[in-house]
Amino acid sequence: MTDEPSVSEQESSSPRGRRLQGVPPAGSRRIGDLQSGAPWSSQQAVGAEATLRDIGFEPAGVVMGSVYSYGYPYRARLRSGTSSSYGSGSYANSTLDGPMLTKRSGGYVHDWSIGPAGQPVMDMGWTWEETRSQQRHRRIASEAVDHLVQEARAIGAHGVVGIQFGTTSMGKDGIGADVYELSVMGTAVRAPGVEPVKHPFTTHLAATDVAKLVAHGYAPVSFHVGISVVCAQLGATTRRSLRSMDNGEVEQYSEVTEKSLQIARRDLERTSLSAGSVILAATPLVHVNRSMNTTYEATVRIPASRVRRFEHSGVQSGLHYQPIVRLNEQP
Amino acid sequence: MGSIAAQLVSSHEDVVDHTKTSAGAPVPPTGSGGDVEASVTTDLSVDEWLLVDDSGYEPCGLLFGVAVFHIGLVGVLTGNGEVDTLSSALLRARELATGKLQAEARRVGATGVVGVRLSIDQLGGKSHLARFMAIGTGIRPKGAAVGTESQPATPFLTALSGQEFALLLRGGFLPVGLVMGVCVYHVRRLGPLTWLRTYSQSIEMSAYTSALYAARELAMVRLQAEALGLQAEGVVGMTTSELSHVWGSHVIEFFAMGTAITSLPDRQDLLDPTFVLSARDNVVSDPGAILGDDERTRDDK
Amino acid sequence: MSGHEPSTEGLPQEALERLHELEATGGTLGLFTSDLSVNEFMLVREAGFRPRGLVFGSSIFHVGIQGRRWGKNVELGKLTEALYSARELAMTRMEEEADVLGADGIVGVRLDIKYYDWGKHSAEFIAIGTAVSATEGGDWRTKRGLPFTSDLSGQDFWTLLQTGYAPLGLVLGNCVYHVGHRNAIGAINQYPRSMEQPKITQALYEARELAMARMQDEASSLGAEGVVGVQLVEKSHMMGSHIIEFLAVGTAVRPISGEHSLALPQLTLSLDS
Repeated sequence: MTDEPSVSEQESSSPRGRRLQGVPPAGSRRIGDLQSGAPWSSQQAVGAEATLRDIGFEPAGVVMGSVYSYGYPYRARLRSGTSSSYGSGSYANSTLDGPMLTKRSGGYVHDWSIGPAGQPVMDMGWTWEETRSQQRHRRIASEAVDHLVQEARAIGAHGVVGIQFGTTSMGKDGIGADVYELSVMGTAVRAPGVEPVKHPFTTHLAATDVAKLVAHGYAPVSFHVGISVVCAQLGATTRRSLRSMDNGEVEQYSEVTEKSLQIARRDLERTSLSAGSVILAATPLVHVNRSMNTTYEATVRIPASRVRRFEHSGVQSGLHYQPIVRLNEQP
Repeated sequence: MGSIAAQLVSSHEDVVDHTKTSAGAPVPPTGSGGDVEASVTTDLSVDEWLLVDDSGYEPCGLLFGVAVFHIGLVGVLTGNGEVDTLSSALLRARELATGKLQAEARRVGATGVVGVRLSIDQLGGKSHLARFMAIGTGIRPKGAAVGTESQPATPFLTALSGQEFALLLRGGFLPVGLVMGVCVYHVRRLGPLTWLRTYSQSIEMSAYTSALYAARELAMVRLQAEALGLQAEGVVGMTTSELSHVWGSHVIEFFAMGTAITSLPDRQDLLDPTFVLSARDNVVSDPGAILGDDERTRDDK
Repeated sequence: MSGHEPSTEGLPQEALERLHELEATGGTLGLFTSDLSVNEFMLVREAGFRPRGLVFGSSIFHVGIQGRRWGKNVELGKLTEALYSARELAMTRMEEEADVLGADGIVGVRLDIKYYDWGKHSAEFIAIGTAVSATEGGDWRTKRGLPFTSDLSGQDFWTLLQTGYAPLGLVLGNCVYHVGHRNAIGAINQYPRSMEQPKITQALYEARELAMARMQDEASSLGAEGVVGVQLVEKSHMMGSHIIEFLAVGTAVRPISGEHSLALPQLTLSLDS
């Protein structure tokens, strides 16, 4: 990037940590400085800081991870041979008796309609499918979090709180694919005197929320983003209802969005190091992409933190911890 | 024993590091007594979750209901009047979304869904498409098994937050459902003569007044009818809004929504609130102030 | 009860229908509606009242273009009257609705102005609130026999009662003022920018005072001891930046007990931002 120091600058400053995998030079340098005692930063509010110190954590520094990626033009499909076509001859699969619900797609339906020349035409296709974009998206989200965790580990942190997750769209590239950057950032915390760990806990919850959890017998475990990118090639029924004068539900669209939400949720519930816990999610982010009247793609991202039961024998005594239910409205 | 943080870190290690146990088997989460329950996702905030938990309820899942609705036929638009087709279409669309949410709630064995957010997003494009989405967290009394008689046939829906739900419960009330009323009204353009006549005067435009007044009342009458249908005692947290959607400013949708409640006479606690004086100013810290803007305003309360 | 027949002039048929539906009849227990939040609902009950129904009044007013006197700083009396009447009409209808319900008063009154694209120079003035009735009865209505009105939230309503006062009515005072153009105030160029502009100062000062005085007058005519929660707002509405409406709003109150002190609050500093 543009802020690379000269080689002599690198040599004359304090010892740098070893280059972290996938982390840019500036990042490795900053982490290295933190390892050698540079001042920590924290994105947590001052009051929040206090609650964490009360239970024995201290801020270690801001850590982050980011990945730049491109999606696939949204017509990509998991399987070929299923398309709606007018007047073409053979269809790969003609034995259908009702929708088949497979793990990866909606029912396979076929639909008769009248083509432009008045000829009968059969549309076949999946009502919805998980896309290749989805796998890619999940992979890079995971990569970004890995970078963040790596930075945290390098400074001896035992956990990362207040993780913010963001996607910045950067338009489209030459082949019409969406280009975007996915980034995560949080405040690493450390328990002084405790050995470094291989798996720091991660959570999007702010410090005060973590303190409240601990006071109630819970602890954060890990941060995940449930992701789904579900796409549908519109069937004749859908196209008819879009052109019609009726007021009614466009069922395929509803189904695709619902499925997208459900798949993102399942993504969350599936990625776990341990079962039997509660997943606290932030508001699901739903984004829909439509192309003319042929394709409908729903992208859902749900940032969430898994929490577990945690019993401890310490007392949060530094601060007078008083739960209050406020009867004023919040401004 | 070390600090709480130290205990947290070491128990976390136990949870994630399967090789630490002598038997080599995965260690169940601390305190769960060995039995492994399914994971449950919720979009309740920590505050909400803890309060709901305190009230004796547990979340049983993040639930969704989506209905993408197409409005093809708007109807004949002349004069001041209700556009019946649109009123029923917009109500139907919302009911579809909340109906699906309710079906989901039944499927996971929830007694009710709290924090329901009902959002409408225009999907753009030539056809008039709007996505109605209802999202909330299903809850049930703690320890209730799925599929017992205690599970009601119609789980209640409410837009109230977890905190509001807990407070309501404490006061001896229970939500019974989300109630809504819709009235889409078309307003006639002002004729040129009328415009000229009234140009310099400040007078009430009674025709318009009664039209819009009536439209709002209609939306509320319908909401009330729903509440009466649920045999509720009252409606709280009502919101009323005027929306214009895509048909231009002469067509206005009056929408009213609230939570219908009923009382549990044997559960009424007195609140007896305490006065608390917060030492925190009601001002959100502004980065501009730190970077040296000239004005710095404070709200001294 | 005052025994007077509620006037229902200006209320649409649908309103009457809706309000009657809320009443307890033979078999049913009746229904209440409210736009109170749960917090407010709880505190209103603590205060010894129960919500009866959402009440509102609306009026669409065409605001005429008064001849602009470019030179002067002057009150635009007709506009002042118009904007005042519009709100009064809306509030009167809201009070009538509460009267139909036999309520003792209205809390949480909001005065809103809605602009619609199709109405050039016209706006809908709305007054909306929740009608309440005292559970133990008592004499809460104004001396004219109408339900009290207040823009106090449920929380403030409870707090007010704790301090030994009761609301009488929402009081308003307004003044629509035209601030003169530069040229006419006389060679503003002569004044260096940082000097106070005495004529404009006087003008705006006067406008605010007028608004406040009118509000005070309303409070006097209600027989109030004081006015709480006074807000003075300035709006240009849609009339251009040289025309400003100053509006003073508050809730007039009367004492209901000799004691006017509050229990000592506890000091807290929340760690939530």
